[in-house]
Amino acid sequence: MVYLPNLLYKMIESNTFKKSSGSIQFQLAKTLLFLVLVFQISLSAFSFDPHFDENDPAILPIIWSTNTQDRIEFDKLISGERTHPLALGREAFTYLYEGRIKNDSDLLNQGLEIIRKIDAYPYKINGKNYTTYLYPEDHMDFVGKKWWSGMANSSIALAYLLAYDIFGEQDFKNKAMRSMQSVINPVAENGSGLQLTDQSVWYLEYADAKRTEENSLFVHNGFLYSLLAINYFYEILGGEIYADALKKGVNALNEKEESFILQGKKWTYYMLNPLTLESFHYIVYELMILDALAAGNPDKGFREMASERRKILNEEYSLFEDQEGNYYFNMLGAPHLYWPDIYPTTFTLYYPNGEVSSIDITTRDYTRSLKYRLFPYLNAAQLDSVTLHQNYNGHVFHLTTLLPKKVTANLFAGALESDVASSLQCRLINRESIEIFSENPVNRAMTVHTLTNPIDLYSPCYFGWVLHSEVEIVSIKLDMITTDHKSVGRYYIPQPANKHNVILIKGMSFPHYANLEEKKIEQIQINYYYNQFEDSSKVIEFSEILVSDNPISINKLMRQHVILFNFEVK
Amino acid sequence: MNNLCRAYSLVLILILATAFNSNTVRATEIYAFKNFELVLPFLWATDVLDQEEYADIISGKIEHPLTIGRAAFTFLYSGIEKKNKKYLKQGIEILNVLDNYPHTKKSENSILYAYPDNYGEFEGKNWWSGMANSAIAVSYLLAFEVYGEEVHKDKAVKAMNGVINPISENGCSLDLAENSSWYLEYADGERNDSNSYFVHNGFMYSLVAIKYFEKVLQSDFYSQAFERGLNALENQERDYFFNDLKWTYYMLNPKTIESLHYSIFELILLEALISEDDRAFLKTSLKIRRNIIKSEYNLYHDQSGELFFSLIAGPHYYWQDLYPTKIVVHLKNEKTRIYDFIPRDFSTPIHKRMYLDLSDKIDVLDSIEIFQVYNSRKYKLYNLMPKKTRSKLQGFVKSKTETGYQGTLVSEQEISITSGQDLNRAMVRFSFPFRPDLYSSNFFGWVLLSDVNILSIKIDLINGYDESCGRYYVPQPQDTLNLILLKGISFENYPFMTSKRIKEVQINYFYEPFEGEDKRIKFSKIFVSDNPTTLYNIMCKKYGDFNFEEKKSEGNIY
Repeated sequence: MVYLPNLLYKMIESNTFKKSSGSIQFQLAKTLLFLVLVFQISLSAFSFDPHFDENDPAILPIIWSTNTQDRIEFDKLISGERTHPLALGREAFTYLYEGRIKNDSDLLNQGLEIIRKIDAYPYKINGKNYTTYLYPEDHMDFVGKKWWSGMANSSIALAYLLAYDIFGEQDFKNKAMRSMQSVINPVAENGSGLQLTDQSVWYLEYADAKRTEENSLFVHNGFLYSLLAINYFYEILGGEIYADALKKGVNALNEKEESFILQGKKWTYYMLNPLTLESFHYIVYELMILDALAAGNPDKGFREMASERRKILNEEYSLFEDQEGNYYFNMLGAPHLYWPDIYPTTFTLYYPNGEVSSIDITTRDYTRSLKYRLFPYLNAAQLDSVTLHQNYNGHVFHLTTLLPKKVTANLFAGALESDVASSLQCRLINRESIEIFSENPVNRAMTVHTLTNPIDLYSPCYFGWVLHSEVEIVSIKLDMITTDHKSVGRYYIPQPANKHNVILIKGMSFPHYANLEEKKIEQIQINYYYNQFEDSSKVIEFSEILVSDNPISINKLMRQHVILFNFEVK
Repeated sequence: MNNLCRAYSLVLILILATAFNSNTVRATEIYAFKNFELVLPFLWATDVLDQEEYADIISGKIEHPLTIGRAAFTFLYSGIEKKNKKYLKQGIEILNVLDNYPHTKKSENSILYAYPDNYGEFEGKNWWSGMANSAIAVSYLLAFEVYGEEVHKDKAVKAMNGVINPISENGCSLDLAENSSWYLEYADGERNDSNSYFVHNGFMYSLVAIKYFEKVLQSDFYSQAFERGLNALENQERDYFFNDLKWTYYMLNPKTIESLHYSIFELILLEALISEDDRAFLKTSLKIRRNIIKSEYNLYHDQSGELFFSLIAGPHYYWQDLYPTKIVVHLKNEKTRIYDFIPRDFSTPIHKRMYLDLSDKIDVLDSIEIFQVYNSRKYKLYNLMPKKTRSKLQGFVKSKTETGYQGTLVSEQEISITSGQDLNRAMVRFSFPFRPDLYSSNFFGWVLLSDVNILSIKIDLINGYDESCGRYYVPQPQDTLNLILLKGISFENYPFMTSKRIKEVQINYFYEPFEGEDKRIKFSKIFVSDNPTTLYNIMCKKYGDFNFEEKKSEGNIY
């Protein structure tokens, strides 16, 4: 008998789940309508944010991951220790860009130094009208010195173009155009362009001469970066070549964009082959590029795409308000609850009386406990909205603005709120255990949970269990089997020995789950991998599977009960 | 003088003092003297020393309700402030002019003081102004505070009702939403949401006046009117800023770029409101508006050694629009130096009245304070500290930005023009092989030498998506080397263009008809600069090499 939280179990038993699902949808629709109305009203309200001097959105994606204070990176590039075309291009751009806006000749000179390093870069193919910068090392099935990147070539092209803008040397402009030509050229001609149709071309982040539609990775952010670079070239230099490349790139994006969205618009994919879920920081980065494209191109499609992706983000990372008027925001969320992948974040809180305050949270500040760095304390009697800014290397990006989302009674009826909390009194409720032996084949122990009442684990907020093992678990593999006998699997991070570890998973984080028609799961197989040990037998104990539909419960769990158990984060 | 004489004199002085005090005994209770910030907008731009204006008002030569109203307030206020009976008397005389103003519209509870002349689409004697009525209302209210006469209060209340009443009920108020009202500066019976100008400073002026009424008369009627106005302002305030906060708009319909003197007057108005109501959005707006001005009118310290404050900046280089400016320079040894500038003293060369050169004080400068001084009133704009910079950029920039200007026409081009040709218009197109962002640049321009007077110049900027924006430029005289200077933010539509990179500039020169042979218009290439020091160098070090035409009007403060 599989344990399910009582209420959920009863709902399934009495077949009321569907009815209440409908009710939830109705409530959500009402909430959505309310939010749309509120949003329209609040947009017209006067709402300056006095705390931010946001970076120019058109430039931000190019300078985002670089830092002119990082002397080590600079020295590595100049000494040749680091031969990485993307790093060279983007660092050169950032030094030149900052040098210009700060009127700082030291930065300009450093930018020029990197440019000279690119001039002398040893691994490149010089064609008639293009230069392709190669990566010297192997990467997956790409062979060192035989593969290149549209993204890297784009960054080098942009750096040369900026150098020309500042210094006026014709040679810089020529090199900019040669590098950009490599992005646009077909892969067969040492370029990054993969022709999809007559009128659509995908600019590959990972390219070699063998790439086809079947074996290309189709990395979304790398493609967008090249598209942005092409757009700049068109904006600044004009001309048919760039206009055509831009048009074909936009067509390719429109053709493929849907493939990058999970079913039900639950999340997005980083790349298509193999289908790989997007990490949070890539979601941020792609929004940044789409915003930049929207800022520099009249095609409304970019703005709409950014808007769609923000909706997806806002669904998973919401500002919740419970029935008592308390506010919650979880830095833990999609796609992997154990990986707080959000950049240092500033929350700006807007109050109905016009007051504004802010909170800064650094998720990877390991000197602080989980509850402080993952769950901002939004102590407010009433909030109009909360704006999130991402901070990185002194750059600031407006990520999104959230309006409070009331958690309705129905949604609140989820289980973990009461059940996990009570189960976490350092006791494993309905504890089961398996004995394991060191000589066990490949040191693997498997448990099988059969759900007598199959449940859709794709939609709930999360599911999980509590684990206590006498040996360190080095990896966990989960396989879920649907009622029509299809399976989806994923791995989970290591868990320490002799602790009450909470495992929390989102259904959508199983890469292929979204594509299954039948989502009801009847069995979960869990494989625990452990190292060899010398004693005879050890025990792994575990609770039954818990499922929750309550987004606030995780916040309460972590803030109020965190001392009772261990939650491993990446 | 014998003792008796002394005694008489003493009695006379006492009688006079008592007589004056009978007028001013209430001064300590006058609200206008309890909060100077609140009434500064009513006093700004007027002066009791302007006896010529006073005479013109009394003679009926000036029939301008705003001018008359604010003059009355200033004379009354100055009379009390300076204990000067003459000014008080003149203030009352101006109110008497208003009592008999010929172009009024009266209802049971309100009086509107209409403008006699046509203005744009507004028909003379049939349009009125919430701002003018506010100025008149506060004057009567001040008179009531001084003399306590009900007739002044009655006139004050009726004039203010002329502001607060809906347009359809002999007023200036336009309801925008529930509990949200806009008090129009330009009003007639036809005004609605769609065709009203929504002039910001005029509305703010009325809001300050309503607050003054609330404080003096202690009536919920004014509190409610103020709240409705503040709600409208909160909902609309963001619309008065460029999206990227580079500058502000004077009004919304059509969106009109704000002149600098209005930008400064808006600060004075906002401070007046904040002195009585410290709502967050007002403080935020004040801070951002001040920073916007500061970002243009700043202290620059370049690696080449120059340290200067520039009084010439955006949005229009040719229009010196700061009020007379007092700059207090604080040195590290706690000594101060004071410098006065009159930007519209056209008899002084431009480089001497628009730049404060502090290069010799680089090592000893602590900070500077910028004051706007208008007539007898002073307003502190902001403080500035020298920004330390490691800049050595000058050398890099020179080659790109100064190619257009060497005191001669570099890369000179010319067009031949004939009288009557295309309605006396000559067009030049510049295509940029590398498209510059003229919106973010500090300035751009060119040098022009024409055989004929140029009556007007129309400039259109076109980007790679064929979006465009345009503006006109001031006339340029013939046979002189004219420097044309422009700023991207001064092009109305530029902020809304998707790409700020400019593919082509089209310049239309309109010239006066002439007889005889063909003439020539010669011009340099367009130059662009990111660096304010470049402009400083052009203006100060190359002065005399060229002519820089300015707009010579004195400007209308309101």
